[in-house]
Amino acid sequence: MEGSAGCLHTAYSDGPRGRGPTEAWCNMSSANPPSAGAVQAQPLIYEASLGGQGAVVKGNQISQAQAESLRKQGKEVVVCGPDHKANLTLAKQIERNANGSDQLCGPHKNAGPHALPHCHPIGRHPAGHTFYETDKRKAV
Amino acid sequence: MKFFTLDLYHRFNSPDVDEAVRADADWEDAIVRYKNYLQTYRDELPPGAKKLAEEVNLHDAEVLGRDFEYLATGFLSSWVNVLPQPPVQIPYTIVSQMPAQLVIILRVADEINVILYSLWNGTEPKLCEDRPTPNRLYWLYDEIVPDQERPRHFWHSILFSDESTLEVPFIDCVYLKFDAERERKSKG
Repeated sequence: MEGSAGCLHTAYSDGPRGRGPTEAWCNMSSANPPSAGAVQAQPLIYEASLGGQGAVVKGNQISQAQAESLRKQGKEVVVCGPDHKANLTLAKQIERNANGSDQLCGPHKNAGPHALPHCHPIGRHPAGHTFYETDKRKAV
Repeated sequence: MKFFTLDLYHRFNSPDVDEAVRADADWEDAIVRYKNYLQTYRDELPPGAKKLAEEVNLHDAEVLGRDFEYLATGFLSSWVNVLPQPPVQIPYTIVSQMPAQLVIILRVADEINVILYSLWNGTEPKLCEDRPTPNRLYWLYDEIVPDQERPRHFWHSILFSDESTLEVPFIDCVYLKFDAERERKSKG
């Protein structure tokens, strides 16, 4: 994680699936500021909306707490950044904190080249998704 | 399912994040392999199946019915009542397009999606499940592949949210969608 401004810590989830420890990124930017030109590996969270061809369109940048609040309301959010694993981990954490469970789905074959994998609650209520970027798929 | 398998779906949901990331790469590979394979028989697909295979995304559609018989329970002017309970009303202009032996009815937001299948003679759809169907069932992934022995005979494999898999042996299918409320208002 060269140049990363974050740190990885482990938290224990108590959601209905009881998956045990989950990893999450926390912001330690004041302790370890990224060097100039370094890759910003820490995931960033945005409001999201759905565009054409399955695209996930980024809106305003938001905090994790704001993302969890939006997900409770059934709104869309997206986790962005170059580190696939960190994005996935944070997306799961947002969904679980907001709605008590997380289920991951890969993009459907016909969802379009800009579709992103996503989390939603196991029962799919509330509606909406926590999308996340991968090495190959990015929000627009 | 040959490409978007239950095992791959499980790996995608692995609590081991490294395994989930590896499964994502395999998922992308499955999409490419399926689309490449589809190119070898796409011209043999009937139009409805080609549309399903190449264009339609029913991921997370709520399943209102998946019945092994054509369960029209009565004609009400231009409408046909179809299971489940309460019945879903489908315009007769849709169901009259094919003497279907299997109907799948799905809801995506305000739209009702209907797939009508004409099945092979003597081959039943296969529903693989090992648990009771939950109150709400959702479509996850699907793939259409040719039968290895019979020309122009196909399988539509569908993975549902309860992890059941439906394998539909079909020779033709029709896919249609309509806004139920708008149709009802326009027909009075």
